[in-house]
Amino acid sequence: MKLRSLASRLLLASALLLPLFLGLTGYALNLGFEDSLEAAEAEGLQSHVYLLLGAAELEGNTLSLPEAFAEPRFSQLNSGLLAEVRDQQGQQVWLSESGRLLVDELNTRQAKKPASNSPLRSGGTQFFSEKLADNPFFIFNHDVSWETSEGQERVFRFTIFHEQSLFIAARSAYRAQLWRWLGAAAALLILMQWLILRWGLQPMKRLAAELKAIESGHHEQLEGEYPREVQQVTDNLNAVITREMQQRERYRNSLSDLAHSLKTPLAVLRGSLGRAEEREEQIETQVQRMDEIIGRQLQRAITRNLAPQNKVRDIGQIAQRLALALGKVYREKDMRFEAHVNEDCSFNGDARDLMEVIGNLLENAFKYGHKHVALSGNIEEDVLLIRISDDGPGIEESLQNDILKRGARADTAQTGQGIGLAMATEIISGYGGSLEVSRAALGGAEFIVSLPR
Amino acid sequence: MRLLIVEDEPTLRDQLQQQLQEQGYAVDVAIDGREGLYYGEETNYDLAIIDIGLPHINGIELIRQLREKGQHYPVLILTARGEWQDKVEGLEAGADDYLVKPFHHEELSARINALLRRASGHASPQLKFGDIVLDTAAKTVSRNENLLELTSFEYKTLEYLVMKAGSTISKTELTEHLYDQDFDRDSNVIEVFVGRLRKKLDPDNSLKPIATIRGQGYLFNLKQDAH
Repeated sequence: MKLRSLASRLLLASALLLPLFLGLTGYALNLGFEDSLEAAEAEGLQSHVYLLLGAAELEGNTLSLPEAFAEPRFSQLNSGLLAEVRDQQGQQVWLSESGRLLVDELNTRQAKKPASNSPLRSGGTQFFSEKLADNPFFIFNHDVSWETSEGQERVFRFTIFHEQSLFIAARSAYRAQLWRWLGAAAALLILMQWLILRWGLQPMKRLAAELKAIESGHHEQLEGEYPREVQQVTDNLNAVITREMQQRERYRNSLSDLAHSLKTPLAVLRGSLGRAEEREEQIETQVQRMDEIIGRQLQRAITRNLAPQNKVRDIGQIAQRLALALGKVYREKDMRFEAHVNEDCSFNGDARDLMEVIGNLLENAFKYGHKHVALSGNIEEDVLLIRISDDGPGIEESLQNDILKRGARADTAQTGQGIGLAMATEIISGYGGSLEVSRAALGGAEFIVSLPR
Repeated sequence: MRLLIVEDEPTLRDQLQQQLQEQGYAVDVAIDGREGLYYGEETNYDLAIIDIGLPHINGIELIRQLREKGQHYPVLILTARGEWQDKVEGLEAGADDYLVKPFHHEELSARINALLRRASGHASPQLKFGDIVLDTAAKTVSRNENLLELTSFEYKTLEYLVMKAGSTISKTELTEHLYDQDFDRDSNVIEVFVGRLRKKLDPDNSLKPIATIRGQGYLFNLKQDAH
């Protein structure tokens, strides 16, 4: 099964981990509680031993203890607390009133289980659990040595038995309480986590809703305030959306441009259908016009790439390649080409676009120049300037503006392919740049391309 | 002059073939890069016209392979997109000029003439040999500024000899470069043409522009005027 929602993934993970974590916590708490209960028990039994020791007296060889104690449970039958004293041979020397019904059990125990009755050692204590008459008991041994009036040393073992029923009751009460609280904590934690997730994922929901609104055309941008992590995504999304919209806008413009500009030549063609003598010439002109229009739009559609993150650094190399290729086409001119491109020159955009611009301008320079073409590139006030000049006839000042207009050609005598300069202008303006013409130091025309960086 | 056209678009291919045949060229056509490579390797053409977007082997690769195989005839590339990337790659691969589709017949003829002229080492379309002037653009020949009336084949024979001036041209080579494949290849026809040419160019037999090298062929041996 694949979980598609982030919230359910996180919830499932914590629903699996939380019981494990809480179980371990409960186990540790329970263990700690038992340990401290038992420690308290051992301490209590030890103090009972002291009570007995304080009351015990050695007369001759026999140890005597009084009938009644400050602790009434020793005198009460079946009180759950009993005490016995045995000598080195394991003989019972004394038994509290409360244990009278268990005499046999105690003797059997002594006989049966010497293991729990390790050899006597003066001052030694032992604390452990054991079953007596099918009931669990805490047992505390304390070995004491007495010096008789003859100066003999005698060792006795004082043993306190305490039934565990109270302890067990306390422990299960604690456990029940513990699990109830832990369960409640788990439920609360999962609930809180669910709320936190809902709250934390709220921006995502909003984002989805906003995207839907954009998709259905109600919005143009993601406008909401988002947390920093999501904001990066929305900023990028906005950039993509803007680019898409610009692209769409451009396609729409191109299409309507194309449709409108093709209609005129078609109208002319239709108008000339009746007059035979005009027909051929008109068809020729209009077909050429339509071809140029299509070519321009096609080129626009193919080459334009709005990705601004591209950086073209090898402007000099592009120019050299183009010049080498053009040198081949205009071989008989034996053109001298010089390129000076500063090292810091770079162009933010598509390398093919740059190639189109430089290619079209260089082609003109090679076509109209006599012996010499020069290209320079440098950065001035964060604008990339590319100058292309030749030693040809140049362009008259009065024509310099016209020549930059679409498709206009100052010289119709030269066979050319028409739309090169217009293409260059179009691409340059697409990047927010400009193209100027002036007279070159070489004597011919100089084209100056300015492209913002 | 024998030309090779490698173009996959049938209408354009037929148009080109027809146009160039009308202008007196012998024309072979190939419909894709593979066929183009086969023809281009086999025959020593005077010029090839190669479309960039070809099936099997693209135009740029075709040019590269032809150049690697040692074919040096001029190559004109045709490109539909007109992008500089294509043009530069084509020229770098070994093409000599480019033409963006669609183009005028006249534009194509001018480019072909220029390339053929360049290949023969002539800069201007008008070639002057003393009194005799050969205009490769207008495809006319004049002597003492009088236009000579030459048939198309006579002109082609003369043009080929002039383009290859200085080297002896065999009758076989002449036939191969002047005729389409299915034409009659009787070498006597060449002798007849050359005979008539000599009479028209040099009626009083004073210049002797076309020499016969026995057993080898013909040699155009007039020197071109300095510019």
